[in-house]
Amino acid sequence: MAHEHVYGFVEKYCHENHRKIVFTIICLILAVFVFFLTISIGKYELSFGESYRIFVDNLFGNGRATTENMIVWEYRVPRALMGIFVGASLAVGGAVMQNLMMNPLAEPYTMGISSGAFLGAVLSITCGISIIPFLGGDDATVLNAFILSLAPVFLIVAISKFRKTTPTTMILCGVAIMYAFSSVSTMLMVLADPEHLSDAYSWRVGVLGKASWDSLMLVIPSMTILIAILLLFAGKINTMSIGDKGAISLGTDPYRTRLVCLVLVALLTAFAVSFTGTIGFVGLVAPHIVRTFIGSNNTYLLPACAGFGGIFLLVMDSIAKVISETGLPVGVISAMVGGPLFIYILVQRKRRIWY
Amino acid sequence: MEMKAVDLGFRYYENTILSDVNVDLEGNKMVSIIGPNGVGKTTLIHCFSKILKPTDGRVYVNGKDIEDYKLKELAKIIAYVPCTSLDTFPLTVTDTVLLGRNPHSKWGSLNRDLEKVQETLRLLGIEDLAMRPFNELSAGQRQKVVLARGLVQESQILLLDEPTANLDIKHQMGVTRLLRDYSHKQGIMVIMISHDLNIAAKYSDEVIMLYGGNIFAKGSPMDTINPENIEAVYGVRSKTVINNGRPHVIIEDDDDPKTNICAGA
Amino acid sequence: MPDETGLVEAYRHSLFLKVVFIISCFAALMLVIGYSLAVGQGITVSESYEIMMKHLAGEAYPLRSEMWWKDYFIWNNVMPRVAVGIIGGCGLAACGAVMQSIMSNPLADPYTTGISSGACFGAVASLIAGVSFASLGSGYTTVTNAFIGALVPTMIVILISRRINATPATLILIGVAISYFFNAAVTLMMVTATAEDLQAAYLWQVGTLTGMTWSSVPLMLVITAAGSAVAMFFSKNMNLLTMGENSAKSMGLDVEQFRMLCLIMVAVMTAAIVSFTGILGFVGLISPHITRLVIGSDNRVVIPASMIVGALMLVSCDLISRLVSNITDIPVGVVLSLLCSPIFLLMVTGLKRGRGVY
Repeated sequence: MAHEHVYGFVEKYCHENHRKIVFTIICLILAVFVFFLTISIGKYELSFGESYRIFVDNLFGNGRATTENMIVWEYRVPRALMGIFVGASLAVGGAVMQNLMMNPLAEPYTMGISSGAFLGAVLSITCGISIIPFLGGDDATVLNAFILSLAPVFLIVAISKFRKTTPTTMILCGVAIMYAFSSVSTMLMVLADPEHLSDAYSWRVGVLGKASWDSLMLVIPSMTILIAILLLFAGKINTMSIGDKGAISLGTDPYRTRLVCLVLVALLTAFAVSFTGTIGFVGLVAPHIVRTFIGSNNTYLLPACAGFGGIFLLVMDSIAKVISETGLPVGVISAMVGGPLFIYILVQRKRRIWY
Repeated sequence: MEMKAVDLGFRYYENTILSDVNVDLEGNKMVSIIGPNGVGKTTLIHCFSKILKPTDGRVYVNGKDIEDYKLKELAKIIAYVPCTSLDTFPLTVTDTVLLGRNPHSKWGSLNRDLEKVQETLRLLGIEDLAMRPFNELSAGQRQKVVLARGLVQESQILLLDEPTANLDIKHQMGVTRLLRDYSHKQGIMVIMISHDLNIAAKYSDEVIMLYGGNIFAKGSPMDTINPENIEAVYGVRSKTVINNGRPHVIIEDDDDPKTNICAGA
Repeated sequence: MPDETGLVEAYRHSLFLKVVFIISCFAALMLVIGYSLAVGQGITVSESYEIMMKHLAGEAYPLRSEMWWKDYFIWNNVMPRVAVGIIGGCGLAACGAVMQSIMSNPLADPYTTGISSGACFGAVASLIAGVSFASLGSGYTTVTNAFIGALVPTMIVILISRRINATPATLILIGVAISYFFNAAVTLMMVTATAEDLQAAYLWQVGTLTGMTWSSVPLMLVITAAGSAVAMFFSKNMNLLTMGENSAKSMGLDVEQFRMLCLIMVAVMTAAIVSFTGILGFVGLISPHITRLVIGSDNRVVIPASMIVGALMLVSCDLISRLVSNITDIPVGVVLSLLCSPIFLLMVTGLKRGRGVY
């Protein structure tokens, strides 16, 4: 009798969680579907079947040297893949940041990462300065952005020797660095000539169009590993949700966990930002949207964010491709669609998702 | 199990909160820590659970210096139940209580963990709240959930910061009695901060009275909770009535006619 | 009994320090104004004040004489700029102090609810796309656009917050979402613009006091004066808010309505300033903090004091910008951010416990 009763309880709990897993799986399936859809969209007309065939051919190494082949395999597929991975990374990073900072306004860029990356890019684009010598052009931009985007994190780690890394300390440091870096970038932008200014501005807005297999070789493994590590941390991050004192009593060192997770998120975001520029919105709002469906348990929230973020960015990029021939920056579309979408969700929600 | 503090002191910048605190608690008993506001009760509990590091003296748990314990190790021995507040991103009740299994849970132990959670929820009478989000509950319900989280940790020592603060009379009694029974039957040491002198007197095996950052009195309820101590520590006049071997405090106002202390059988 | 005199003395002493602070800021402001007027003219500070006084007294000089040129230049080129600097600095600082109070957030500034993105949108729409929201004469398109644009986000925030129960965090998030939208629209225009238009639009956004004329002043002055008066009137209620929403409500304050009123006031004031000057950052954020470090958190004093600090900040940075403009043209917005971010960094990392700010 009692055993049945217990079984009912456990069953109900697992059923709830299965619902959450289903959400993630749906996102992944949709992602695959949209992926194939999106590689057939673009300036050059191709049918769904054709592009599918080209993709499969190349996958098995039977690619032919036609223009269609090049367009699909060298341009569209990398772009779509980049979209999925960057979207997933930003969404997961955002969810983790919000938990670590116990603040619904946190996002991957809260630590000043975006302003560091932008400064790096501006240095390269307007002044031709490259932090690693003898590099030029796009490579320099990417590396500059990567290195400088990690500067805020270095500062936080350094400060953590003297002060406890509470959310407030981290946010304040991040904001301070953001102001410092962006003031220098602004000055450089103001002094630059219009062409460079235009380039730098485009960079900041965020484009997926520069993706290539070379960059993907680096991006896919690193992002996968980093996201996987963060998923493993989900349990620890859950214990942080009750506050630092509660976390200690449950056996988690909140300051060290926060620092470690921050470094992971920073690396993840740095990879994303250096290649695509600062694509906004996904990191801030995607986690909130996912929370309305899944709740705040990170074991299920983080994978769901990865799935949702990936497909969200992919869809936005497809829209961008459809709307404009010149290839609108995906960051613009995601903000223009996402902003109202978020407000709509805010107004419609039945339960409060944050306090 | 044993909780010992030797010459414990805690300073917060220039303010001394605790000094020269010596405590030696052993065995499965229920201990109440009482004292006026700001006297350092919560600070003491925090020093016991490694949330704060004492600026002087040492804390020993089961004979070993608390600093030598890793946090995860310690979490299996000591559970801490705080005063509740709203979470920024609330979990469901079940997930919240499940967090308490963290020190013990391994891959695949979910079923066992859930059984323990359900047992505890039922014990506290809140099983029907299992799937509700934490922040939507009343203050009293939240208090019980947090208590459940502490119980589910299956520790040897349970530290509680005013666990009955938001509960009505019936539940205050129920929870305190549950804690006492837990300690006697499951062999756990329960150390709880209480503002209610009568409940502390009725159920505790031992009482520690803090005042001015040190221990003013410690011992059985009969020895510690008496009008002299209460007047010295709280600045309040009172008289005690003995009821079933336990003191019951009746506070007196300046308006009340002065009577002789210690009436009653 | 003996302790009381110690208390009274300590209180008097701290009061004295606060008064000294305000007076020295004010004096510094006067100096900077004078110096600003004098720069490049080869005259001293007192001479520049003399000229200003004389002009106000209606004195006229022989046409095209040396004095006439000086008077003309000071009065028509530099004075408006300084005037806008003072008014703008006062207004932005007051708005910043108000926002930080009602949002219970030390990082809030006048632009937190998306005002800057709306203003940018309006300005850029005019500069790049030639679109005008209201017809007030061609010279004013950018300004009117920016003004109207600046008010839109606040209206949206207010409309939404009527439908749902809005905590400060929610309000800020709505502002963020709106900012995203408008910034995206701005980006859209900027990315498809020519490089020159882009540069013009970008420079507008950065914020400058160059090219201010007397025609810019009246509207700004009236709105800022009115807004500051309202802010000071509300300052007691803002003090109530710092005790927590529930406590404030129990004291009879309708918290939601009060917040909305303050937001509207901040929006109008900020819009009036920003539509002429572009987005001047930092003044609204930092002046209240600097003031609070010395004066404490009583809004009745903080608001007027931070206005003086804000004016001082803006006029000084403008002065620096003008001094440097012999070498290269740096708008005051850049100078502000370059100077203020180290200050902010210092404030953040060198926090002394319990000293006013966080």
